[in-house]
Amino acid sequence: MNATTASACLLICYLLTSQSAVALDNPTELTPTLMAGAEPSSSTTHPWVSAGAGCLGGAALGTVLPGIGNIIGCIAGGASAWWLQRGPTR
Amino acid sequence: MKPMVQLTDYGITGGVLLLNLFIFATLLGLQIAGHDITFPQAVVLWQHWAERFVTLSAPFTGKLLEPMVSTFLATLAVILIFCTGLLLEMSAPWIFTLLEILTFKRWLLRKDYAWLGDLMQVHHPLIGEDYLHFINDPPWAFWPPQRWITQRARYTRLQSFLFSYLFFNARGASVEQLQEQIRLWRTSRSVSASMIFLGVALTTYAQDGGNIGEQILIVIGIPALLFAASAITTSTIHTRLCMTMCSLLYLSSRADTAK
Repeated sequence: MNATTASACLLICYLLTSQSAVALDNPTELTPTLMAGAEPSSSTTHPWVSAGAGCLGGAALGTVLPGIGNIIGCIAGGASAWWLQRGPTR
Repeated sequence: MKPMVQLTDYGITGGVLLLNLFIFATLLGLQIAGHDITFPQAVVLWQHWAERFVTLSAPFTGKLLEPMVSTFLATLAVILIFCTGLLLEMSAPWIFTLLEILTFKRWLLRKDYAWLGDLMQVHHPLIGEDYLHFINDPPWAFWPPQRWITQRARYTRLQSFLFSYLFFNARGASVEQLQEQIRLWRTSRSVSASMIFLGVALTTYAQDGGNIGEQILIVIGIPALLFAASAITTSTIHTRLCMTMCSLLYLSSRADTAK
């Protein structure tokens, strides 16, 4: 049952993220699947906002083990979000 | 619980989570494409996705396998919804146990309920020790982690016993009332868990671009609201269940004593 769910999720992820198959005549016209003719947005980074959001999300998931789980989740989520935000591709 | 009712519940909760994820994927798609978050832009994005899904069955168009592929995809979608509901049902207790223990101790297992102490004394070999530890330990005993895990186990055992006792002793109308409350509680808890997952997903959103006010609103403000709403919903519904159980437990224990 879990394998079925995972397979369906993988299928959806593949469909949403793969390169378009309808522009095979001219490979240079390939567009990202999420939106035809999309252009990457300009990057305005706010690391502390990302860190705060990561802290919030990690703390929410850390409720599985209240107290220490919230603290660890907040620190790990905030630190990883801040680190990813500082990456060259973000 | 009847199988059809159970499937309906899984369908509702799984559908809510997938709908939430669909909305999140739309927001993410608009962000990656660099477009404003407006409904017309979302419609364009959905049309593009629909075209992508149509291409999946394109190799089978006009062939004998075409209806089978369509049926297979539809079946897969239905199974996905039910499995998602089941996974939510399984994961929700991990998130909301703390809130449930708080309401359980506030509205059901209270030290000043002498009649409840008598009932637990009668069934002491089964749950007496769990009951004594549960009502004496503070609900915020989180450290060391083994203590919290033990408290969780005690809560689960006590709740299972009380459900069994009520279903064994309650009359027809009372059983229906209890079943309805339990069904409502489980469904709302799963929906709340789906709101938690959506909130966590939103905290990873909008890392680039936009002004800072919008970013704070989307990645911190809305998730915090979702977490608060899910906590309030779960507490409210579980409080109602505990009140119902308390009334039924009192009446059942009185009837037992009178025999």
